[in-house]
Amino acid sequence: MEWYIILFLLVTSLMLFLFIGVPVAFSLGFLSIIAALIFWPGTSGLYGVALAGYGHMGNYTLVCVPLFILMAQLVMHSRMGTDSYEVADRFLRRLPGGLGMTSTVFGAIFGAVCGASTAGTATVGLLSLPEMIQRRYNPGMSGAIVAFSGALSILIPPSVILILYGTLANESIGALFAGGIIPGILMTFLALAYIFLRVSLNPEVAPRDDVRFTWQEKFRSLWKVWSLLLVILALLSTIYSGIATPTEASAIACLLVFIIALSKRSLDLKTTRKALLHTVRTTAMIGWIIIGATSFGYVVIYSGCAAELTDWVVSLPVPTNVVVILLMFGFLVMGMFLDPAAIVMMTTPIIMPILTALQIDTLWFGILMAVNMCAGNISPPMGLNLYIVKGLMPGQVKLGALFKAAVPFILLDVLTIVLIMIFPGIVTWLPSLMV
Amino acid sequence: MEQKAVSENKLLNRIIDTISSFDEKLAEVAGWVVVVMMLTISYDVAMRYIFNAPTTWSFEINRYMLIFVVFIGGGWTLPSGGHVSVDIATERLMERKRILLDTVTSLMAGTYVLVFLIQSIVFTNDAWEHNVRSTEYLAWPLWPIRMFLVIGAAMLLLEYVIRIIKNSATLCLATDQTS
Repeated sequence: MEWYIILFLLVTSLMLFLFIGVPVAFSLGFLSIIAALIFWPGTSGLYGVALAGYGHMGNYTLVCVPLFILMAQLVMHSRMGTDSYEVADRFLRRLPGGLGMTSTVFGAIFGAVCGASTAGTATVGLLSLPEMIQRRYNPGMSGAIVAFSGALSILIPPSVILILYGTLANESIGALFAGGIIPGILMTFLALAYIFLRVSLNPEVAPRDDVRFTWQEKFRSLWKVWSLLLVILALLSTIYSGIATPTEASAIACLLVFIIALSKRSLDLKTTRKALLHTVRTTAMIGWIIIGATSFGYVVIYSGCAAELTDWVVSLPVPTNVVVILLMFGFLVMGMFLDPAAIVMMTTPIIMPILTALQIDTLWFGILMAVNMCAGNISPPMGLNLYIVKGLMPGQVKLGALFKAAVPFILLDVLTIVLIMIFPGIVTWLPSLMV
Repeated sequence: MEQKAVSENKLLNRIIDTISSFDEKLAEVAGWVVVVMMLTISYDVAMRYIFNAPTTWSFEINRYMLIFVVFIGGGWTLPSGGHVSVDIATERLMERKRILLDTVTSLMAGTYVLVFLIQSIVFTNDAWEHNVRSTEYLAWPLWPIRMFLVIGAAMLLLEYVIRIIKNSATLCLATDQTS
């Protein structure tokens, strides 16, 4: 059978499994064992396929995943989350669509302690959605803003997606984190500009309110979050300067957040337990996705499909940038259906040879992919963040309205991708300053 | 007849609750293991930068703890709804068809977990028989670490088996009532 037919069959069966509701990790795993039985009859193939992901589990870099998740959970469950939301609110409330802008900026700030978009979206949504609904903001737009802001956690370091990509692509996690900062800020500002324009042109989607804060109130609120900002700064600068590895930095930052939360007396045994359970749940989910996706990648590689695909792509008579655009398009489509962690785990080993052959900068490409994953998380029909948002607004918004409202935000993500492709410096400038 | 079915269902529910709360306890243990990871790594960094004497064990033990968290803590992920799945197809279906579809998808996922379980038993047994040890400083025997995979997969399989039995029971009960 031709390789593209095999690849087509694999992809369509995967979509079918996902569509009928098999969890992502087990869709990938089940498909891999079926494929293994076809390609390598007997049980010997199963061994390699089923346990392909075990090697990643013993990777020291991945030890930072539960620690970053715990840190975000602690910020979320203690008063630190609410406090930083308040600060953003005081500074932005008076602008058109102020509450929407607040959630965007808060999403970016929370993204700097949070590595996964599900936690980011849930946190932003829990704090900002009730108020936006109360102030009669357009529900679809409010939900889309939250989904977009939560997805910023994928790009703004720390980021589980960038950690996974870095370990597979052999790219420095510190450099990737540094590369994500400017695009993350750029995306935040694009969203603010969009909200400003949308609300200015069409004021009824976000009624103005008359709550005003004095400058004194604004700056006094900053006092509440200085410790958290310090932790973020310490975290990023130690990784950035190479003083600590991402794993070490994650442990220390997590410990600092723990101490701050305890000293503010905003953490008791019950909340700690809740944070720990959430951490384990998310870590195990990501762990199984790593296992399933690695098995799937193993099948695609050892069946020879990956090599054929590489040869075909490399021999295309088109400029390198067209290949990148094609890959981006592919990621965008995959993002509509799959979890970002799964996409990164299964595609990175497959596309690495293509990047090497065409001499594409893997750091630059990793950030492009991360921006793409932000878009995937908010794109219909299976964008995870939209479903989280819908769960947070029971009976207040139709999925269709949410899908429609998400489109402009997906376009913002695409615009960011285009900008990064035209001006690679957006990504590469900050890492190039690293020692 | 109906009463018997209801009491059977009650027993089933009790078993399910017991297993789920056991899984939750294990997940909580795994949660405290994450705290231990946080403390040991911080200790290691402190020892290295302040006393110039890094620990010999932190690097290795923390990787084992990660495996523990993923697999031993992972049993609870399914009953607590932590596994990402898409519900656009399932949410539009009628109750009966939804349960039927859930049974099919549980069978598929369960088959995979079963294969994973068998292969990890082979993997663990291999370490046990050949006395495979870590090639690093601690040189620990690796079979207990690989055992985490076996236990984790077994717990997950159990959750799926329960789900399949519960769905079948609900379906049978519904058929009894309509007939």
